[in-house]
Amino acid sequence: MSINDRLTEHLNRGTVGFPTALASTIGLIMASPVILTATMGFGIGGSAFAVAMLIAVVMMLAQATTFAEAASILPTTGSVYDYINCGMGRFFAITGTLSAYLIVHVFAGTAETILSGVMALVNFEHLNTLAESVGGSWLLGVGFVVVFGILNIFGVSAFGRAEIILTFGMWTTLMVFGVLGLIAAPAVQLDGWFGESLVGTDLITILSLVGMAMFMFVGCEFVTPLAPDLRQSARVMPKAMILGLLSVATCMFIYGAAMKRQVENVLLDAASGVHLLDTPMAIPKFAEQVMGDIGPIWLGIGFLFAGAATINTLMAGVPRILYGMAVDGALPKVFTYLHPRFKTPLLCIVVVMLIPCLHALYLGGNADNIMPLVLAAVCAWSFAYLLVTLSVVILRIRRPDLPRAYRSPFFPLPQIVSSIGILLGMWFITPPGMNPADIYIPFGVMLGCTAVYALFWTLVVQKVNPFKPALVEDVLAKEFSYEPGKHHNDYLDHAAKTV
Amino acid sequence: MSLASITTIISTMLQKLSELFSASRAPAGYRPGVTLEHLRRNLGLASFEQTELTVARASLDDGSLQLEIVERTESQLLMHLVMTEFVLRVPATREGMASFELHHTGSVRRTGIRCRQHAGDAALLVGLEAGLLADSMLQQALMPLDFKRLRIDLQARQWCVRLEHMGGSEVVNRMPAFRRYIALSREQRDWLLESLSGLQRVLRTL
Repeated sequence: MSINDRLTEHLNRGTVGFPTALASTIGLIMASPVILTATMGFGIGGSAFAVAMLIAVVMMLAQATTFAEAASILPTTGSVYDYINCGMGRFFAITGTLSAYLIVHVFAGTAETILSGVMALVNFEHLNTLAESVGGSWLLGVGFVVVFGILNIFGVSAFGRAEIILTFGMWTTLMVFGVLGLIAAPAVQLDGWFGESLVGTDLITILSLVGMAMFMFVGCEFVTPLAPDLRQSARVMPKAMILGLLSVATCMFIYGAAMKRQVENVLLDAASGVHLLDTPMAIPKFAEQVMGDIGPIWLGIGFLFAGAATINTLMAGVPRILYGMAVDGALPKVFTYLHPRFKTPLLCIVVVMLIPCLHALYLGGNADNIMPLVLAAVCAWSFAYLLVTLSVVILRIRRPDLPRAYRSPFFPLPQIVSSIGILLGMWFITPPGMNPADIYIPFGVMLGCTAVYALFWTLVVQKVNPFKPALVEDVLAKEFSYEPGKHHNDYLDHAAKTV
Repeated sequence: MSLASITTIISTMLQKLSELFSASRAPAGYRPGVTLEHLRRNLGLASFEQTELTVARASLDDGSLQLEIVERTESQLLMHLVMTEFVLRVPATREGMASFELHHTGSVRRTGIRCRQHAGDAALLVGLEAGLLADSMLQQALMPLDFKRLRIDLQARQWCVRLEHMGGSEVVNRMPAFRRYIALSREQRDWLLESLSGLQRVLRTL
């Protein structure tokens, strides 16, 4: 069978349909850092933040077409790693993948750990007072990490049967509050839908808000590793990404407009210039305004479950992945240690537990540190996006012969738009009033460490040329060989030749 | 719209909802047979035949051990695990029903093997423990083996051993979406086959 036939068969087969793909692109919408970023963004920027969001949507739509083309050439579970490996070689592939997932988790995972407790408890006044008196509500997030870590050490799986209910619950909660906030009588007199900007409306200010706006949309590529599982993925994937981005944008616009209409952005601290919408305290105010006494309770329970479930997923999945890497020799042998009785990867679970907890403790659970963490995560994500775009462009030029079930339209315009947008977003990522060093230094250090590791791994351990791109045919052959009943790589003989 | 058609629509909706929330529903993104295929490569047995999408039969090259390997899933939020279970059936020399579970002892290091009886004649537990102790090769194979669960059941004059190993499993995450197959290493594969052969030896004489 030729590569084209095998690829077409592979792209059409699958067990997952459009709804799952769509859910994967927008599943993070209820994550606490995303909601806080939206609240802060609309609070300080008003209509300027809405424009920044529009710019971010256009950039991300352009980026989505690039990801969709990459996934149609390489419908593999390796996704980002394979795209970059085929375009630019292993060094960039390892650096880009670790940047997209590991560094983002170090920053965004810590933000989630600190915020999940804060966002939940801030809705319950008495509980919040009690939590603050014993050290702060952010400790609840650390508690989640520890509890779910311990449960996983004992081999107990939480939330096993609640996936659909939870994801559906997160969705409807945000939409219901947003729509009700819009149709209810406004509590604040606003100029326009999103109100005035507190930081100006000039181009530089808008560009400095694009980084924050991008955080609401990054993650749309999370659907791409699903490509081998999707039915008709060449058609479904771009549709899911585009509809997902538009759905998130719509939801956030509704939420932002509702929040600004219902909550007065009063100045809380004249010395530091902190306003109500810069803090999580805006959430219960908004909930109460929209739905009375029941509002904060509903939203509080929603955040509680969303935070707990997100953290549990991390605790259940990541340690097993570390264990698998150690079995394969990619990590030290000590990570293969299993608890004698429960046979759980104890050391891996402890490491995964410690990273966000120690990082959160180091930051003292200070909510002021959340935004630099979020923006450093955006830088890491953006860097990986740039590498994927470059790889897709390189493959178009070097391998025009490759079968592409989906081609990014108007090539290379979307790639130019998204790359320029991302570069500008990274350059102007510091919002007014924030120190650029708080964002660039942690990001730069982490990226540098990742690059050194990638160079060491490729040169010393794998002993390969770090900059030699992999053959698309080889990567596909490996992916196809794991299909049930396909015991031989019989397609290789007929594979398209490198031009 | 007639009452009958409304009833039909409601019952169809209820049926679909019941399927959606059913415990037996396959997790989204589950690819039946893919983990088995990975495991087939790790086992490297000449005789490995996939009888169903999620079930395979395998045997040692000399035919002394015949196994059934079954894939099963465990759902989590936006992720699932795919595990494989090795099933060994041995004819029993006696009637009755019994159920045992084996696990390692120790809090930091493995210090031994403990056999717990869930049901059945207590005399069988004594026999099984004696058999396990007497077979030093089986002991040597079981101690380093990373099994998550090991269950032995007696029913209808047949012993059934069900062993789930830590390797030969897959983590499928949907947020962010990635897969990771946890390989069954060469040493673990050898200990696994040695353990199953040893259990077959012990159970035949019990």
